[in-house]
Amino acid sequence: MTAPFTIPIRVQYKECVICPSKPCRRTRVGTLEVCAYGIAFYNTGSEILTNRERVTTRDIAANLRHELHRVLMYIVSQADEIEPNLSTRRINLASPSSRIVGATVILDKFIEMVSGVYDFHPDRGCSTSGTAAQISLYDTVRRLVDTYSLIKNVRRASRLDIAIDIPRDLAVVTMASPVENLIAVFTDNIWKYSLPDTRVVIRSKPKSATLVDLEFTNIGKPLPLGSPIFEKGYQAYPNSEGFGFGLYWAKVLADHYNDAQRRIDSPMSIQYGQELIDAERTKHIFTIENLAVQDKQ
Amino acid sequence: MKPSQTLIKLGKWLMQHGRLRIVIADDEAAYFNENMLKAAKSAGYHGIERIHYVTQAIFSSWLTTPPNIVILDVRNVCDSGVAKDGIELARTLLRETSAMVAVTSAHKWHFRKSLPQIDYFIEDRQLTSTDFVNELSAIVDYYLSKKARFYRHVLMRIGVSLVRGAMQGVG
Repeated sequence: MTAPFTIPIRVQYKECVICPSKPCRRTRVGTLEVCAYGIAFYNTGSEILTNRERVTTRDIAANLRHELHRVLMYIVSQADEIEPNLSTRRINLASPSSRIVGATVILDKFIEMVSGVYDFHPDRGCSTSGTAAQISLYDTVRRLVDTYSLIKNVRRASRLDIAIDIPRDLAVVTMASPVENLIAVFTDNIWKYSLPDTRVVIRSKPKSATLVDLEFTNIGKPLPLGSPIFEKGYQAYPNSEGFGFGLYWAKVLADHYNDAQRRIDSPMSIQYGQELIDAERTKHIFTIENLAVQDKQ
Repeated sequence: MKPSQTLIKLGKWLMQHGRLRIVIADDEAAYFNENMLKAAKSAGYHGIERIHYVTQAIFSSWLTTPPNIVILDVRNVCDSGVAKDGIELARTLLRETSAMVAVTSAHKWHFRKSLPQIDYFIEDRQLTSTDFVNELSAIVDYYLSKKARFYRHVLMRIGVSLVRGAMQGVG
């Protein structure tokens, strides 16, 4: 029997490009450490070496966001010139300019998801924009339901009867931006996976004075029992509309939300259940549990 | 019910005369564009200076006469002699001047470590003119309530509350 041959592996150390501020450069010569971004590095005195890939998918996505965002903003500014009083926070389906803005919102959310910026989303304690700091739950759901209805193809649902049962005075006050992205995932899924001419119900169920469960119920094709729907890349059907990234992302967002808010009691969680109607149809119920809210001021 | 045009006009007149000096620095022309600035002006926010780059001369002038509010992009916004990036510049301004500093970036992770020191960050980068005016209004509110002493900018305060009161009274 011959000995298995070995392939010599040579680790190539390269200059790190992960962050612009490079605090590693201020370390002492000879430091071998892991930085705040989780990258192991070695300071030779003249350069910082790391065995990390020079440009990761994440870096590419983040830079893509930077490049694309200015183009999106240019499109928004042109639509804004055509029609005053447009808003990225209010989509009017009857207006072509508003629909253009809505399409840029979808693209922006997609880029944000791909680049994974929320690994780095700021903690609480900062004052953020007035609208983002206290977003109306009803308005956000309404806007995203409308926005994601803009995308049409043969697989996406049409003629949905959508009921939104959320009090108008409820507001999301902490980490509104990740919450908005969570809602975007579920509203997009409603359009992706509902059967045509069916009813969708999005409702909030109060749990306490400051917590609600936000429930998304739609009717679609049944999923095999025990389907790992939150796993990255999982597709229930070969020709599925999605790529198995959204629900995984939703879990990441919820984890981050809990971590950033240090939520130990009543952490936010994402639950899924289905109620079989017949062999072809089931009720899919996704719930964002323990979402922190308060009455709008 | 229509909002009272007289009250709105009076409010905007007061805002104009109690003007705050607001400087916006961003290298990209599409952000904080001309339409946005026009909309802000017609909403009563006069005294907005739009620059693309912070040179040493501008920075020195800020140290002697700081603007009330500075809105800064993070990347490619200043001379390397002034600061490494917008965040470092924001920190310097907060340390050395009384200005309120708001930052904006397409990359939210830029804010990760620097947030506690910065007054405000504009979370949505993609803004129409209407969105920008709302954002500006929130920034000015923050400035008036947290950064400026209660007896400063009295005309601005009255003007803002008159316009807002008239608008909220609708319907």
